[in-house]
Amino acid sequence: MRRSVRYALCLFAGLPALLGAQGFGIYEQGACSMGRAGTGVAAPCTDGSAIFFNPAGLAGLKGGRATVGLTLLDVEGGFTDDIFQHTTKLNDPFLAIPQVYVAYGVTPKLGVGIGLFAPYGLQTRWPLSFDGRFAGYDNILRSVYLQPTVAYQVTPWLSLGGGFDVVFGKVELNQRLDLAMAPVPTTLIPVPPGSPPVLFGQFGIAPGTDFADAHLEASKTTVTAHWGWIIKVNDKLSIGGRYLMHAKFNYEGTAQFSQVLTGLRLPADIPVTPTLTLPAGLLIDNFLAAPITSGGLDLFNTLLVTQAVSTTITNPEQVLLGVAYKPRKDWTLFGDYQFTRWGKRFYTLQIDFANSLLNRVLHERYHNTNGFRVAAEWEKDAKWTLRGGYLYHQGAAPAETVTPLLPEGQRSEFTGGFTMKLRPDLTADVAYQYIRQNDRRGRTREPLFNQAATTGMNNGVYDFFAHLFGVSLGYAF
Amino acid sequence: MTHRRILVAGSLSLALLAAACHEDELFSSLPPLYTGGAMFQRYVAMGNSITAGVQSGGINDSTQRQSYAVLVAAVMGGDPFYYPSLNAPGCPPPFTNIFTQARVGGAGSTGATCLLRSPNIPPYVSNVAVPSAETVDMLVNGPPPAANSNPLTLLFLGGRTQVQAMMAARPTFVSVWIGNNDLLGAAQVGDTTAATDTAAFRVNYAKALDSIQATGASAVLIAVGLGHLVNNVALPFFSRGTTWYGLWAGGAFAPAPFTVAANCAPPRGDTVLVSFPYGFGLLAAAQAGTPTTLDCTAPPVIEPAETRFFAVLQLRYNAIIQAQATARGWAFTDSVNFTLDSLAGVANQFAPFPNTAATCSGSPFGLAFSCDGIHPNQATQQKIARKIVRAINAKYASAIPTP
Repeated sequence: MRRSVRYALCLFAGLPALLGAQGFGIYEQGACSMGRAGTGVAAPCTDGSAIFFNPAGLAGLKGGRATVGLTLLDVEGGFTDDIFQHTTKLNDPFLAIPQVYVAYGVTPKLGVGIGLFAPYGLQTRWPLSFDGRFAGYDNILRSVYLQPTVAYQVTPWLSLGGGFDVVFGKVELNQRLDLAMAPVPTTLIPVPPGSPPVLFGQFGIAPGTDFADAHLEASKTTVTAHWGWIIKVNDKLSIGGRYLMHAKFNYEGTAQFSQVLTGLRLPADIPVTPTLTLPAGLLIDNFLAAPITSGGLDLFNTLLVTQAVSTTITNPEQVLLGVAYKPRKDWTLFGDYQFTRWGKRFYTLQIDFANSLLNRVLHERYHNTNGFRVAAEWEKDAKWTLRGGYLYHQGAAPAETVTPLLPEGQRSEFTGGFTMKLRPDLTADVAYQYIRQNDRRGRTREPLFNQAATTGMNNGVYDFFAHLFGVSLGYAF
Repeated sequence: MTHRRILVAGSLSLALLAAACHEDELFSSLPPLYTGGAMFQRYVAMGNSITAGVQSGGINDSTQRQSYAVLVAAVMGGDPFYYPSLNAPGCPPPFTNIFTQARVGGAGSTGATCLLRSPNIPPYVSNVAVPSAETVDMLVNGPPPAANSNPLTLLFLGGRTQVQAMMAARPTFVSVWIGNNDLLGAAQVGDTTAATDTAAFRVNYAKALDSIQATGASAVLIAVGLGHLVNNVALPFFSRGTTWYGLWAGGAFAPAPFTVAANCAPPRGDTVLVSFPYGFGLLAAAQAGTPTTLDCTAPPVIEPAETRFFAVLQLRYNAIIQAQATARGWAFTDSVNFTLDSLAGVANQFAPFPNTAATCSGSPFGLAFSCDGIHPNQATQQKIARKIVRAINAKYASAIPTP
């Protein structure tokens, strides 16, 4: 079991970009539910994905279910800047997200299971020619939840379920540093107390002059909990709800820096201070890297050295309420509402380095979000079940925080899918989902000196859409 | 209603809902609305100190804003025109009195004072002109003799060349006014061999134009000079030998032990040019008690044959520029020189000899020039802008408003 868990975790290593939920939430946790636009809090799919969609759904399970699934993502998007009207496309590869659920009905009332899912995560990869590389060009936020679950049918009309989650978190940020926006050490050019330092850009260095590459990586394991309930009002109507607690990660990791050569030379003798004149022809790269005793800044042996870095990121809590109604024996209609508490959990992001001069504060200021899902399912016959749905959700990022890290916004998503019974004990699910995010103005740069951003920094438009294909295979035992 | 109809109606409703959602849009400036305006969506100016906005021997944000390039960009009405704004008092600060060497910023300001650029770093630079630049400096950076870079080359271009900075701005239209220093640098020291020869001028100029052409931009090429030397029009930075001789003979420099040699007298002295630093250097030494003589055959003085050389060189440079413009289908204008020729004939516009009693606000070099005798003042920059716009409109049948 331990080996299989480790393997499953490895499968989750390449996590997806910008999926179908608010903020960096991910809701594509099974092909059956994906075809239903993620609905099912009141009546989860019987493939074991109830572990995520509503733990109470395991109660009353007959026998066992093991489901292995895969969601393939073709993510398209980019950024077009106001000034040059140049579009940079996201560099995200074709991605695959696996899902694994195992559930078993111990008694007619008691169900147990274990699931591996990732309700939060993101990966945004941009080409190095993108101006947003200074905010981050390859960013990964990964949270893999391993959730042992127990559910019990308390009464014929009420089921309860819950589990605790061991959450494996990892965050990775790769970014370039822009010399134009880098401060000149105050030891070299002092400034009055309270004044901002002089920028290299004030010496004429053009914006977009890469001089260093930063790689930040940290991981942390934490625990949280998840529970839900389902009330079967009558044979036609069910209502349900679930609550996924927040998961707080006090990440600790390492920051590594490497020099990126600018190739720029001083065109003339440059008097920097009364006692320091840099000679014509000097490579700026040498000035940045040379030891202080040789007249350089020695940046890569002093400030930009490998060092400890820490930050705290909290995956927000999710509250979902849903209803399932069967107008006919072969039809079921679903409606879900989702609230995600981004406002409290993702407001500021502080990144602390061993050298506090590098500390950063990202003012994310996310909003709480509401999502609405509707779907319909038709059991055509014993072999085929067809389904389709639509979902809409708000964007968590406010207008001033639409960045290369997560250029998200409100979305409309359309889904469709089917279940095919291959054998009495073998079921296949296939689903398709189209995500269309409204074009959204955003920015490519972070404010200087940890200031809060404003919409005045927005310098273009992000566009995004995606095609998702889900497939899963369920085995009943 | 059948299941199919319900599904179709539901799908249509959802599609309409999605289509009604608000979409954010690009904030792109519209093409200028006048005739032919699209060509002038993004303007970049290449050149030297005149284009950069030097006045009175210095440059700061205030003088930069008075450059013809900024004025032309304003009436073109395209994308923002970013100049590399220098913090006050400047780099170096302009003179307030050239005779006492007082500069903007007060007692602490000297010719070595150099403030950095504004911390508001623009996304690109539109005015890529650099003071002291010659044609070669559009292509390469470095100290003499290979190039003529100076600290402003770094502050304005950040280690790039003018061509590189121009290309980074992705222009739709470029003005090029360069070559004055290829000639003036030699004239200031009275050495014809220091001038850029026409072959090198042609090669450097054409290479820079090739780069402009590679961007797809159109251009206006502006003839070298601030007046035609061949028409006997010289910058007020230079005073004629005759003028020096007449003033000396009239006792203007007495009681200082200062002599002006007879070789400065007319008619020879009419085509002898004495630069301000050389002539006033001798005079200052005499006023300090050291006897000095202005000899109009001394090397720093431009003698008649040298004057003719520079006059012909200016014509040759401009013939090269005009040929390049014709070959590429671009605008060429010599109208700035003709304007200055005209101004030279108007009283008080070109001072034949600096008014030593005047501070810079009193225009000691004449009403057309700033307080260094070389660089146009605000009023002349305005006239230059007007001439350039008219030349552009004439060539491209555009209707850029006249500044």
